[in-house]
Amino acid sequence: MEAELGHFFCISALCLSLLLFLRHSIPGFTGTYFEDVTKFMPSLIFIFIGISFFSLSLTFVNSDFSVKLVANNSHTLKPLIYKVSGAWGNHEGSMLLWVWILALYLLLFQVFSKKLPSELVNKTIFIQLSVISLFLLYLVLVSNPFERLDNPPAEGEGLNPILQDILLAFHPPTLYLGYLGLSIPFSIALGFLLSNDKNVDLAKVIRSWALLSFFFLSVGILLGSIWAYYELGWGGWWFWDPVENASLLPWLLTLALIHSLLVLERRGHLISWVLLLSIMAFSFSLIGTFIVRSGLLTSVHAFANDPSRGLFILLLIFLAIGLGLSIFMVRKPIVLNQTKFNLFSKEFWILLNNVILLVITSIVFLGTIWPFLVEAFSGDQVSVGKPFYDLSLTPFVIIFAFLLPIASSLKWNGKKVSNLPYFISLFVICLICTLTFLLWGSISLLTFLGIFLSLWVVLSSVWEICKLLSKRTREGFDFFKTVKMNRILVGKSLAHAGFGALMFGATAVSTWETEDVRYMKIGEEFKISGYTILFKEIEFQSQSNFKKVVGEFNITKGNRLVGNLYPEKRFYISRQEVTTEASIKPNFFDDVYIVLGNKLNSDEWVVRVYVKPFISFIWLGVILISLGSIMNLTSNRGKLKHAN
Amino acid sequence: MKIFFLLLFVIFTNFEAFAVEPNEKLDNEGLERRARLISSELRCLVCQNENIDSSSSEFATDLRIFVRKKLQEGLTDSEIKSYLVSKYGDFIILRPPFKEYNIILYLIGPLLFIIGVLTLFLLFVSKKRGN
Repeated sequence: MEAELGHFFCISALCLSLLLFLRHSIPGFTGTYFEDVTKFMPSLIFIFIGISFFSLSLTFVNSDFSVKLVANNSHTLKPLIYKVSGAWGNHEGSMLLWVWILALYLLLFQVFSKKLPSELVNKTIFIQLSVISLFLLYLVLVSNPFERLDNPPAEGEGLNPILQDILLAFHPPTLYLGYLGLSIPFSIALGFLLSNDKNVDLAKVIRSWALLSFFFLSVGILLGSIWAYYELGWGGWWFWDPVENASLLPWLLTLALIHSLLVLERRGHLISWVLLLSIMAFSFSLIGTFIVRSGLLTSVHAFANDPSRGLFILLLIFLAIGLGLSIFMVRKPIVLNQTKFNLFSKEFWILLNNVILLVITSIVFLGTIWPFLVEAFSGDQVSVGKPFYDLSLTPFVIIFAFLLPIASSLKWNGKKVSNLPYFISLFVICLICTLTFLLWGSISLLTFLGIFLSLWVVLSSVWEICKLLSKRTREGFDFFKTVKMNRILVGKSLAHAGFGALMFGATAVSTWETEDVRYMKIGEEFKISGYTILFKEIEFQSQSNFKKVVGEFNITKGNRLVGNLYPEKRFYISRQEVTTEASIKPNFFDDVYIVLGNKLNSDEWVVRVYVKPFISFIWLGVILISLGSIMNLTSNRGKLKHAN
Repeated sequence: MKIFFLLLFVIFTNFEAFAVEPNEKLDNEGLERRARLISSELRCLVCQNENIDSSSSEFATDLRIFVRKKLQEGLTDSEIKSYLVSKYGDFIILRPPFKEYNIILYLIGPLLFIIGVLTLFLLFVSKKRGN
């Protein structure tokens, strides 16, 4: 019953959006009567797809195995939360969620666009509706989540055990909120290009959507990364997997967009560039979907391996991107006077930032599709993995980090670097701090640069915040008020500091990580990086959907007990799969990470211990970046004019 | 009950090798470090986008042991890698060799960077006197 209800509302939503699409595309349809009716359409579409999605979730909760999707992806023994998340842990369900979020953004845009010119609003809604219609068509025609089985099985096939995780349950929805948030800048850009009334502050309109998407993308990537860290069993946090790259590409482009929007907002330049970036950012979200969903790539994420779907999605993407770019080419604003900037103006350095971000994007994109290109054209097989990205991206990240504090301190339309003594002293301080690291042993040039640059970025950002706060103290010191008044600048500096922290964490982990793997008997202990690891006990336990072996380890430093760790090996009954669950003691300065391996013939076990210095800085960095973007988003725009 | 025995079977036999096992490690620390570095640059051909250092597959285990054996025989890193390439093809190296069409992949970044920066300086920087 729920399945039919869901299917019905899915088709209804398609009909509605097609109707609305027609009403926007046929000029004769624009009577006032239609205006009144169509005003509620976005909410209706959102509600319809919502009902459809909830129906699907219900079939999962009720373990209705006569629905093909549930039979393939759920199991009665699964905890409730993973039954619910199972609704989007598969291809069809995740596409339904995808369309629902698209509709959510349509609704949000409609609500928050009251003050915009009606022509722009209508055309933006029109574009957004076209995208929604395309994806609804895809759902209804090729990828129906509500398909019934003639002979329903008694038990479902279960969800992949490594995907049964709380972080991973929220990873796709968060990432989708980011990917699809970019549909609004895309639609606004095209709506703006198609409008005749160009009298609108485009930067202000696009800005909050770009920041919102950037926030969700960052958090989504963070969740996935933390999950990989504790789930995949050896503590890596970024694998340069094609699917990770697919989420990194829109993130990088959105980052470029946010920066160039500043130039448009403050100086009124770069309008074409901003429009192009808005189109490209969403295009890369779509390409990312294609990469994940087409089955072209094989990885944990590619749960669709049906070529006809791949083809349909490919067509869809070509249509969306092709139309977007053609509209841009035909209608892009003509700039009569070539824009010129001063060499030491902020706007010029933001352009430099954009060039580097685009270079990084191109390298990641080309690296991701390179194996397919090579195979298609020459038949050879090549692999492009972490060693390639390390080699080709590092130089640009170094340049980027070095330029960041300088660009951040420059003035709009400025003519010179006014605070050279400050930078020279900052340089010396960072150099001395980095040199002190040599006291603990020799380090490679790359590590040296990594530490130096992270200090360079973090210290300059902290200094910016301090300066800002101290300036306001003369008017009476109120910390929260000052921060509140300067959310944009504080947010900026926080995000920059976050980038520095991320860089420091990445450098530290890759340089000073220690690892030991050995056979251990119960009661044995050994030392690693100042910690003593004692193997205390082993226990067998049974849960509803799996059985497990749990080891108990005491971690001590000197005489102080740091904590107990309980790494597990699980056996999932429904899938007959074994997984290893690492156990981690996170500290501020380092994480102790223990994995339980196999049991040997006697009472010995293989035990793998890693000590990962400063890995928390990686998470902290991304959290700061997200926080910075959200502070920027909530800022009061009126105050901007006074602050710099 | 059947499940319980199956569970015992799975957990108590060496069902999977998990990355580098203690018995694989070389006593010579320098050689072991080199082995780890080489392993991290070799693709596990039967896995999905994993290097042999972190993979639990039999293929990866065999290859890790092979690399260590060759290191003990005194081969250099590049000798080992080129031997493996001749045996399995370029697919096994996670960093494509700098030759033929792959050169495009390596040069696209620097080229774009140079073009981008040049464009900025030539087209967007205002001449001071003009202002």
